[in-house]
Amino acid sequence: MSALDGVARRVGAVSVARVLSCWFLGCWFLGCVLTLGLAPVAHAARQSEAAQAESPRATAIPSEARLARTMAELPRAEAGAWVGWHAAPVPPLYLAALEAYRAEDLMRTWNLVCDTLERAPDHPAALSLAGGVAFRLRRYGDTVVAFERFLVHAPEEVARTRHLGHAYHSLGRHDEARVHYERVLAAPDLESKARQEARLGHALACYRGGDSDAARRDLDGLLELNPGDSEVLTWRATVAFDDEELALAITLAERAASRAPFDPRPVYLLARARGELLAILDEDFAGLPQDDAGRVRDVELTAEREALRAAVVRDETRFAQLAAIDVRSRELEAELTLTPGNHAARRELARLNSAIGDSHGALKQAAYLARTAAEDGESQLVVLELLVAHGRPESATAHATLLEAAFDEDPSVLERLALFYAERGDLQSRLRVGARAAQLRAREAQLRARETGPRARKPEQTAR
Amino acid sequence: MHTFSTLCFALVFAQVSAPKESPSEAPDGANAHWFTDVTASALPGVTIECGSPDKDWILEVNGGGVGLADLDRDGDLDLVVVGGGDVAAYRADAPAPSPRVFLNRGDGTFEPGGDAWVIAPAVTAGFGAGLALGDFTGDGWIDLVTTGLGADRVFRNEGGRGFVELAPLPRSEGWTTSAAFLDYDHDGRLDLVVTGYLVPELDEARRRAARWKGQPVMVGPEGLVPLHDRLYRGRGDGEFEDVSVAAGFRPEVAGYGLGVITLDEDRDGWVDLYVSNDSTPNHLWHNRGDGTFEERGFRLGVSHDAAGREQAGMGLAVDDDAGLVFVTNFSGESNALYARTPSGRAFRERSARMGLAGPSLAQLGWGTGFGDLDLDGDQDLFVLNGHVYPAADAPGTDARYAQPNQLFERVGDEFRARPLEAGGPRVSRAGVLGDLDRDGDLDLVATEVNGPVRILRNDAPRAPDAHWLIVRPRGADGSPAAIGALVELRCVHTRADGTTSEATSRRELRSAGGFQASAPLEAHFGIAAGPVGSVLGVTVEVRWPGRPPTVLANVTLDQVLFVDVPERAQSAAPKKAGSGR
Repeated sequence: MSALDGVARRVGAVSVARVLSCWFLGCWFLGCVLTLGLAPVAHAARQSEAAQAESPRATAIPSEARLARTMAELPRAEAGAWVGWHAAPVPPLYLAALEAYRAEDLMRTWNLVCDTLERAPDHPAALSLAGGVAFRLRRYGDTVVAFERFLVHAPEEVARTRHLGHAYHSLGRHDEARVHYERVLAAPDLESKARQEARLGHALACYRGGDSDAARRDLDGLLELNPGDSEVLTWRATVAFDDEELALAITLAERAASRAPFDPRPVYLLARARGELLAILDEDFAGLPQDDAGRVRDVELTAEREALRAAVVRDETRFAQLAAIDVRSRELEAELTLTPGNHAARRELARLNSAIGDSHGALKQAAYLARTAAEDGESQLVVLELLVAHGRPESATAHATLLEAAFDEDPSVLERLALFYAERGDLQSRLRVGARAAQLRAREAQLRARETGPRARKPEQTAR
Repeated sequence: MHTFSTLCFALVFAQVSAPKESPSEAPDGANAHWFTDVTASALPGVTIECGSPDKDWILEVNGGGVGLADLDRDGDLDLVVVGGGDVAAYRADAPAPSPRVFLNRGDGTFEPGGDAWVIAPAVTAGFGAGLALGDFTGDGWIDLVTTGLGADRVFRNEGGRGFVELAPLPRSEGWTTSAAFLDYDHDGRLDLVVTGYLVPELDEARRRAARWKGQPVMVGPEGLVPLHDRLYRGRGDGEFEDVSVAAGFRPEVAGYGLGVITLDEDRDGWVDLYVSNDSTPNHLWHNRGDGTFEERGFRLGVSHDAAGREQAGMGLAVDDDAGLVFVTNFSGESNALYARTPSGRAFRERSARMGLAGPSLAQLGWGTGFGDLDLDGDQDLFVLNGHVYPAADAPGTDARYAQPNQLFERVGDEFRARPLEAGGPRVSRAGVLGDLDRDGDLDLVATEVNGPVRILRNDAPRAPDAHWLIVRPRGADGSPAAIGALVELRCVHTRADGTTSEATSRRELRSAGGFQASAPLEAHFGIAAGPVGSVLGVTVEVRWPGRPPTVLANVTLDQVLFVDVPERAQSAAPKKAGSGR
């Protein structure tokens, strides 16, 4: 993104020479945009992972009337209109859309990119950006339209359209998803990570389309390249479980769970698969010889059975814990996709991550709050809380210092800071901050007394 | 986190638009609609009104219920329609619309039941929801229980001359949805399970206070208080005792119960229960045979989807032949098809492998059912669809409020979409199959929210020389003995080469219709044979819970076969806990 900033500054700085060098800059810039401008799409894909995992039911997201435009309403360009589009001038609105996208303001991005396409119908870069934003906004119909149009005008760019496959898949159009992924995978300029993503998409489209054999082949191939990928491991475990390969499902799900300890899906598979193994063992047990006390004589099998039973209980408990949090987390992540400035939602998400021990997730949200909610005392206190909880004492101390300065007129924040210092054993800081808080409280009390004092005296005067 | 790990959540949790359904390869005539709307002649002017079109409150979205049973014992299926209400009226303490009875003229057309069948309004304010039809007095006449917000009402059938209201079911406040009769303890008296949904709120400050894809929509069910389901032990006289806690029919955390169906999941002769819960795990209640139940949904694999996620859970259907349990879900979730594993120990979610996942992603499913609609020997599937949010029509939601109803023909190991009916999309809800016109195939009664109750006549292309058989229990205490009975039809054919083959089909008798519906207590079979002469013999065996089996040989096809319920054997001894599968 910093490269994009540099490009934008350079473009803005060109004056008279711009006319002469426009075509050169245009080529170069659009080349950057093609890579970097589409980088937001890849970035969007990564960021959208959680957003896509939302519950389909209602969540508390403020409405945005200007999201009413759809891709289908936007004008079309004639075939061939964008031949050589790399050399065309970059629409200023498109640059504004990129800026908004960089600022994570998806709704503004959507409106600006729609504005761009109103004025420059089917501008390929704008279509690509529109497709990426629509995908992040979970508007899969618009995603399809955007990328399908993009491919009409830039068919050579198919390598960059794997999100079209994702959108088909999300709409239940598994056959089309499969075909498109195959098209993407056949592109000669497909970079490695995109290839893996497309291949996983192909695997899932095959699986959801009922072709488990093809899914298995894809997933096994991906695991050969990257044996530790938790997503692929989870899906391969799912297919194995579907095929009643319980031992394989358990092995794969264990590996997935070790790499993604807060993902409920592998834990679900472990609980189910182990539960079925336990049922088999229980059946075997029923026919075994027993001693006079009714205990099965095979000590080893008894121990194995008890260990498996304990594992099942542990898995079921852990799954219930993760699943409950997962549902709420997805709702919050969906909310934050549309309203990234919803600090209350982000605080709740951070605390949920913290509750299940997801330090990475908790601190990621904390970092976002620290950066974007600097004026919100409650959010900054949560940041402090998380830094302490997740083993960042030096960062916590530095943050507390910042809070003391930034909120030196807010007694509630200072009081919480005093507690922080008390827990740290820092008496001097506690006393300093506590004194300041007390001073502010006293001042508040005086103000309140002044406001209510004359009115309080009136009844006495009346009584006299 | 790996780059391509962005996919998995997105690809599991789809948001929707109207999907392009892949056209299935089909023989000639496969594009003909399987059902014809004959409402104008069969049941004109009957609607279920359920709140305002804006759907500000969750109370307004579920619609009503529908049931089929021979209420006057003239041999055909009569119709009971329940449900609806109005928020303003409810706030003014007005009762819910009364249940309505329509008697079948014998040809699949209906007329109001007359004064004797008019049911008075309830004494308490409320909304109507679902119903259960069954002979809980044991006098041979089908009685009625209705559910909803306000009171669960109980009606005794007065010898085919109308209903008389008895005391309501004992319960606290809240909104109940579906209900099902069963004899869970083999005492010869019908018991009852009622699903509890939630305690609705009508706080003006929360009117359409939730957001869905940026649109303001009604609140719920999340955020509202769920209601426990209830198990009632019948006393045989119309009184029911709440035994939920004593019977262990009480999970730690209440779900938002919407649908219920009876099934003998482990074939141990004791009827179990499957409850679909909205946004919370579904429950499979295993009947231990000692008067208690144990929840086994998670361990059997029927509580979540394949990824371990909770789904919406509305309609329910069971294919006893193939060992399939089907659950309809929200838009953006595929409907779930749980298939028993070859080992028999559990179920696997097979909607994707069997062709039901993709077509259901765009739709929000409600009433559903399996039935051999084209009489070719296997069970097809209908799904009634319609969204809950009018805002689904807003741009960018990838959904629609009115949706097409769906039909899936079973072809081998998969289901293929077929056109259910002509006409456009609808906002459908509960539905039930039954042979209304006595021509041997299954017709469909479909309800809508703020719309008509429709009669859809079965005009499916039949298999060549198709035949049918309906097995109906008969007897003074038919219902308690029949629910859970397994009807097995064995048909011996001659092949073209002169050898013989035997085909076996099974149906479990149940009156539970899944979501807010009550189905006829009978087993319908389609038999795809060559010329009748090629069928060497048909045998029907009925295994009654707690009673000696009935075997009938040389059964003639293309008839309604009445099977007398045998006398009760000595009371079945309670099983030890943990016996059965």
